[in-house]
This record gives sequence, structure tokens and C-alpha cells, in this order.
Amino acid sequence: MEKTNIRALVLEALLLIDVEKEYSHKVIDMALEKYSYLSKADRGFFSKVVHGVVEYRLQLDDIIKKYNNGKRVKPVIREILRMSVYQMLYMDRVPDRAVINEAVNLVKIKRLQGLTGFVNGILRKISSEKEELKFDDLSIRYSMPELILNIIRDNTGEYFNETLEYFLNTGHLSIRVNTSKSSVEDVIKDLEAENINVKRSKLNSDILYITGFDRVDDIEVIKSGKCYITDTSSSMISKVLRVRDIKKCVDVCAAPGGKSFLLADKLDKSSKIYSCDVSENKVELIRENAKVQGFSNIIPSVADARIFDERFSDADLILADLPCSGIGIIGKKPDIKYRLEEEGLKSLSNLQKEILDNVSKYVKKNGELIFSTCTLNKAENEDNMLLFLKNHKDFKAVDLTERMDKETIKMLEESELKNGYMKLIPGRDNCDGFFIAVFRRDND
Amino acid sequence: MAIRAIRVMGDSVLNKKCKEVKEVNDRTKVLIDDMIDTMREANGVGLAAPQIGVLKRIVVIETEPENVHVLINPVILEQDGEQVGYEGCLSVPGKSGVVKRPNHVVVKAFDIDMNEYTLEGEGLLARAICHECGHLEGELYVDLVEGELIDNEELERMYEDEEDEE
Repeated sequence: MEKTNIRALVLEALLLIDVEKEYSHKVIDMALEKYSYLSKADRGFFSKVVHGVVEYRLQLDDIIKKYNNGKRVKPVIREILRMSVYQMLYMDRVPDRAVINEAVNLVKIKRLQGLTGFVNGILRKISSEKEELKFDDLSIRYSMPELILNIIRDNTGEYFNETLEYFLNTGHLSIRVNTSKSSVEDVIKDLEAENINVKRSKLNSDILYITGFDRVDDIEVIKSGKCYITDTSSSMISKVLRVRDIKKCVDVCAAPGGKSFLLADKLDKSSKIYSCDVSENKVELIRENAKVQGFSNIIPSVADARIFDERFSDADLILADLPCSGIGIIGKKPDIKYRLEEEGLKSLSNLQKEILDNVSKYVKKNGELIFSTCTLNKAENEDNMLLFLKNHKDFKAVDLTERMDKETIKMLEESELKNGYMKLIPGRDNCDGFFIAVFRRDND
Repeated sequence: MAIRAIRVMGDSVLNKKCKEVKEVNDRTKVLIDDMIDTMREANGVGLAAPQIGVLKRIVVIETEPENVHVLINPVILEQDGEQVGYEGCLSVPGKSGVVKRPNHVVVKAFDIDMNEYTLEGEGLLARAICHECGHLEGELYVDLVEGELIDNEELERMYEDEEDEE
């Protein structure tokens, strides 16, 4: 039987991503499932290189272009160069000599023998001069297209550079303890028994940062439903939640369900939570996850958030975590930064407005509407919030400082909280970028 | 010690059932050494005797470096679980395909001194045991592939066509 060449696998994955336009996290998950027998080291190498090459694409191409005099190369050669330069620059574990040998080997496997000299030469040159590489251009240094770079600059203020750094070096996985099933202390003990490193989030005591595990799906506390993968940022919804008098609640864009589980964990167990999404597939995913989490008061439902649906009327709470540009989660899904265009951003803002207008009709008097996104873009966040309040005079922004302890308020921006919203900024809060606003429908 | 030529699909020797080994003599020992060398040279994790043209029930497996299993007259006693993943074969160069295999097997075999022993394998080792024992029955993994056999060169041409269109 033939041995699986892990580098050939990396190359195949990169071609799928770049030529077939597949999302890198999907390709990584798919490959790790297909090649489940790979060793822990091989799986780690595969994920790191594939994710890293996508993440650093602009910078890698800039370097390669310099040494190649801007000539175009075949996609196969381009990917071999990218993955090799990435390893030479960002992975100390493999000596450059080995990286170059493996690159040449891949060229041969691909039956492009005529190009071994070219690949060998260019990689040797980069290896010998890599210490002198400098990136004055921020777009190249952080491998971030100008359009997105400018949006991040406008929305992160003094934490601009730290935010760009965070996107490149996230390094941990954030999980939320399902406190209906287990205490945070017990989960920490369980994780440590599995030799997994645990750190607690400062912003939310239910959140743990974990490192040093092999496969996420194999972690016992996740398999058993004691925890669910949730970023600190979106978990902050639990901090702004009015817990009392919530009997009927609708999560309008819920799949795969993380925020519905957070609501179910925090709200009274007698409350009903409609957990909606547009397709049967997505709703099935919510159903499966809800079972593992052990919440029987979650009602998975197929529904289009843009279209009025009688079932959801008279709700005490609507959670509208809406489709967005995703600039806040670029650290996890680097493909996003290369796909966003001005046009798309505009249509997302409009979609959000359309959904907010519709779902606000479900909120009964004295009920609340939570609007959230995982992006750092004023046009989608603050602008939409203000537009909503202007067009819906019966809704008021809720003063969020009344719902939080002083310690938490200190870590965030008090003036924003008083005006009914909060922004989570990666460079300040050590989590994804996120936006949460809370509106209450007046009693009269 | 020598590297021997690996037979490729189409060679009828790969479709024949192999004969039991009655005794291990010096020739058999040389054969086994050559199988190990040939497997390593070809970057394999397993090799069966028919792949180098010898119709004997002998298999060598090395899924972890420096840990070679020699299986003479192997018989799979137990198998359970399931793993679905890509598999490739030294006798089917340049191709791979998705094959479903048990995730855990127990195999009975004789070692190089003709002492009987059992070997238990999970994951890759289980896959390799099944793959190599298949060869002894004249079977190739290509008959077990779900969906299509992937041809690397075809994939390559596809990418190049795309490039031309740009």
C-alpha cells in the first residue's frame, strides 16, 4: 500500500481552494475526515500549512513575484512555491533544506521535471535572503486587501495594529461551558485530565481557551455536550440578556445553534426557543446539536428571516444574529478577506435592514430585540442600528451598563454600552470582532 | 538484498490466488528482505509478494518507521468498526480512491521463524493489513473504490485548462 504523502495532500488542498474556490476551513475538515488515519503530527502540519498559505497569500505572492520577476507560473508550481515559502518563513520545525527538497520532489510527482531547477533556484534564493525581507506596506505585512484594511482601520481605532496581529495569531480555540450540564470547574478538571491546556476568558467566566488537543471532535467535554465551540465575542450576548419574563424567544438565523444553546442555558427552562434557519439541512444541524447539548425546549424550525411568519409573533425576545461580511472572524476564516467587494458589502447592509424590519414585528410590547453581527464595519453595525431606531420609533436602545458588573464595563467602552451596543475588538479583547445592540419595544 | 520490480495493474500475476508457505528457507528469507527494501524504496507502507511477481502468501507492513511486520500465511480473525478514506497502491501508480475498511482488525500469521502470532491493528495498520491480504487473494483495492478512482494527471490537466481560459 502506498504511503500518503502529506505534502502532496497539502498541494491538492491548496489547488482546491485557489482554483476551485472552495473555503479553506471546509477543505481542511473534509481532508482530515477522509484521511482520519493520519498521525497527529501529519494532521497538525496539514492544517497549519493549508490555513497559513491562505492567510498569508498576499505576502507570499509578493515575495515570490520579486524573485520571479513577475512571471506567471502554472497553478501547481505557484502553490508549491507558496507552501514552501510559508514553511521557510513561519515554521521553524522544518529546516529550509528539507522544505526545498520536498518542493522539488512534489514538482517531480506532478511530472513537471523540467521545472525542478526553477523551483530549486528560487527557493534557495529566498531562503538565503529571508532575514532581510521587510514589509513596509501594511497590506502586504498583514496580507490584507486594501479595502478590508481600510475598514478595519476605521473600526478599530487605536487597536488597529493589534487587531491585524490577532487575526494572524489566534492560536486558541474558545469553548463555552453549558452550565446547565456541568460547572466550569468540573469542565476544567475534565480538560486537564485529557492533557489539554485551559485558560479562562476575562470577559466571560463561562468561556475557556484551550490549546494542545488533537481533534476537536474527540474532546470528551465537547462530545458529551458539556461545552460548545463558541467565541468569547458572541458569548457576550449572555451578558446583555434580560433573563426574567422571557417565555417565547426566536433565534432567527440560528444554525448551527451556538447562540440558541447560550439562550437555553441562561433562560428559564420553561421558555420556548424557536431556533430558525432557511434550509432543512441547517435546521437538521441545529436539531442534532441541540440533542447533544440536552435542551428539549429548543424548537428547530425552517423559516426565512425576511418573510413574516405568524408562528413567531408575540415573542419576548428576538435574537437576530445576521448574515454579515464576517470581517471579525478573518482570523478563523482567512478566505473572507479575499472575497469581499464593495458591492457585496452594500447588499449585506440592505439584507440586514430587511431582516431587522421584518423580525421587529415579532417583538411584543416590553419585549426585546438583540441585533448582532460578527463584523467590524460601521455600515453594517452602527449605521444599521441608528437607521432601525429612526424607522421604528416604538423601539429604544437599552442602557447595557445596567446589565453588567463594573469589571466587565471597565474592559469595554462605557459610552457605547450606555447607548445600547457594544463592539468586541480583537486587538483589545483577544476574541473575534463582534457587534451587539439591544432594543426594547415600548410599553405604550 | 535487492530492489525488485513492482508489477503494475494489468499484469495477470496480480489477479491470482497465492499459495501457502510450507517452510521458510534461505530463499524465502531473501525474498522477505527484498520485499522490505522494495517497499521502502517505493515509499510504501505495505507490500505483498505477488506485487513483485511471487505467488506466495507473504506480506510486509511498515506503517510506523522501523517497525516492520512480516506476515506469513495471514488470516484475518476479527474485524469491526469502519473507516472511509483515500487509499493508494504501489501497483496502481499515480491514482487513489476512497475505500471503506474496518477500523480494527485482528490477524493471525506466522513470523519469519514460522512461529504463529496474532497482530491487532487500528486505523492505518488495519487498513494496510486488509489491503495487503487482498493481494494474496488476487484482489486490488480498485474494485472496492467508492465513486471514482482519482487520476492525478487528469486533475493536473483540469487545472491547466483553467489557466488557459484566464
